[in-house]
Amino acid sequence: MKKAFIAVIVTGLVAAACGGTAQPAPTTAPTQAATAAPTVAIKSFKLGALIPLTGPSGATGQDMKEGYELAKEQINAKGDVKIDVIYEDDKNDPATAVASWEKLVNSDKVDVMLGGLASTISLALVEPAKKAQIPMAWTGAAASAFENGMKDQAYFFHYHPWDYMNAESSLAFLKSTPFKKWAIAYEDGAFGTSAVDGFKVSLPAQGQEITAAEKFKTGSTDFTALLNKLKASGAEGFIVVPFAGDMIPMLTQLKEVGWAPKLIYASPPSFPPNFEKSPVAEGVAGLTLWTADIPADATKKFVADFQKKFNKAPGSYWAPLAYTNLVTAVDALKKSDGKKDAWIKAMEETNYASPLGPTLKFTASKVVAHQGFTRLVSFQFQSGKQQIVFPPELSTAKLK
Amino acid sequence: MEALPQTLFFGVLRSGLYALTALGLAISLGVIGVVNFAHGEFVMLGAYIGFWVYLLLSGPLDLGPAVSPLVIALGIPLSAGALFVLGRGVFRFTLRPLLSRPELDQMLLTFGMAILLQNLVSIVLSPQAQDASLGWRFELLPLPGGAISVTYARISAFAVSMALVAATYVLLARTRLGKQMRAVAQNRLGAMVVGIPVDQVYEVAFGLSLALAAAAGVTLVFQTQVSPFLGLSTILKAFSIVVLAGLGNLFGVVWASLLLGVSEQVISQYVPDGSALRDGLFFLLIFVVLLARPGGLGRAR
Repeated sequence: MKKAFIAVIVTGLVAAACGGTAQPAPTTAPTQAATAAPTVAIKSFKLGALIPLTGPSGATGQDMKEGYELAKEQINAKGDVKIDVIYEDDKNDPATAVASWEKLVNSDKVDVMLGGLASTISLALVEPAKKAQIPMAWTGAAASAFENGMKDQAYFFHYHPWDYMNAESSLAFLKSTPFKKWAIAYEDGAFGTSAVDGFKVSLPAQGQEITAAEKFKTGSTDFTALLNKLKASGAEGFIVVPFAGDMIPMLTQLKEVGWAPKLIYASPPSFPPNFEKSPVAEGVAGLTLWTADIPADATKKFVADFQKKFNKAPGSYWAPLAYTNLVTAVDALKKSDGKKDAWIKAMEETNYASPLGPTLKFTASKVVAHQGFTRLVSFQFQSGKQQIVFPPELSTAKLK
Repeated sequence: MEALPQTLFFGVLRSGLYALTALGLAISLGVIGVVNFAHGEFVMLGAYIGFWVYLLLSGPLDLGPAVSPLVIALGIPLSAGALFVLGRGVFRFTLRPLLSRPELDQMLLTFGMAILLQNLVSIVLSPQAQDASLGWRFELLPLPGGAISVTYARISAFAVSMALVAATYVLLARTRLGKQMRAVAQNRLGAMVVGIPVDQVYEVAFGLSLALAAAAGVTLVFQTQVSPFLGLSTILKAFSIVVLAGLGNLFGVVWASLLLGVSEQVISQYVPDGSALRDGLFFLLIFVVLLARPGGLGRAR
């Protein structure tokens, strides 16, 4: 009896271990319409979405998934194409990401690869991507190292601004503030390091001083010693480049060590859920591609549709970014009938009124041929709301 | 050097949580001889129980400022009790049959258990990390001098951790059960010869190990996001403390935790980029210690 019980338990453990990454419930295959057969065959396409659903950037990845799900629902509802999105969780771990990439490309045989958030993960996928040569509509990774890695890869389309574009947007905002001395804390992966490498050159060039710069491991829960060092440097402002899970411990411990910078500028890929409601959010400024208050028709429609489907507001700009990612990749698949060269051409002709606000067109960046968005706006949390404070022409409030 | 008192102080506070997490692991390793790779996942389960208590108290019951102390007062007994029972069941039905088998089999079992628990919680609950908006996470207690403060969360986590560690040591030192556990830890065969019911001691010890893990998990709700992968960040440090203290040295866990907590803070404060390097430097210390003294710095008592 006991032996049988143990056999059952061990079998279950082995099955769970072989079950691979933690995944949400798999997307269901498109169902057959229970009406008269259509006279024109509906094309079906499979897209792979490699995003962090768990780990320090899990919250951001979940925002992306919601954007993809909304887009998928609307695309399939039109009836002229059927798409399936297969999600794989990279867990913010390069080895897991590479294995998941191989699965999506070689086993699931997807037509297009979507996704991408953390630069460290995207960097690990450069060689697999070059080997696969599969159409890539890639949302994330800001690091220039990844941009350089994907040089001359014609199938590669990149949506998120690169780190130097992030930096240009940040720098313009920082220059507009009255503060000259800044201390920086940054996560020690490719995302944080590349951002800070940019700051180290550009801040002094515009007459601002970096009084201290310290790195940390994302996911650590204690930053008091690091913050003490930065406090002792005499900085007026504090720049932090973390992932979402680091934000609340970092800002709480800022108060513990008795440091009150005149401005906190944080640039995680997204803030943790409900961050705006926490006591430590007030006054924190950041960089974003988007807020829900951007006065564009596509934004208003997206927010309304999102609210209707999920009964909540989008968690971050990664939701409309993912939405834009899927819509444009599928549009190109429809036009090209899934053929790679034709898909590339169709993507190059993209002219899409994105819910992010700007119209999406792909142009050349410093290194790659197909770059989507190039500019971000700066905001500040004021009384529980994200107010755009820079550039002035898009501002909804003044910087406090 | 101005920051030294604060550095040491925060290091000591941090060590409380480490001691609580590591003590449970030390008991399962020292008393039973089982390397429990799933120990971090039981910390995670304890954290989820604490999080649910928080959701209940802040949501339907809406108890306002009382939520934080009640999460401690209710969450710890509830999670510790639940995982004590779970631990005894897990031991009886999965580990006990493997005790006579090679240690690799036991390690594989607990490793598989860790993966199973992470994935179960991800699928049944959610893989998404969640923050508890507890007042004590943000409310500050100014320290003498006024320049620095600590959150009530940090102070209470330390106080609770040390109280539980002290209670465990009293149990180990003064009670019949504790003496039996120490006897089994020292010499299993000898304990059997003198009539100690080794199997029952093992079962209770494993339950106690998980109860301590669960209590540590509840304190983590005040400090970090609760997620199915919370255990990963705790298990490595717990193992390193147990190794440093010496296998079977249950009483050495406290000072080993102190060494880890304080060295982390000192490295972070005084070494350039120390916050990123501290884990690596601490493990380097462990390697050096083990090369010099393979049994750890302490000896089994």
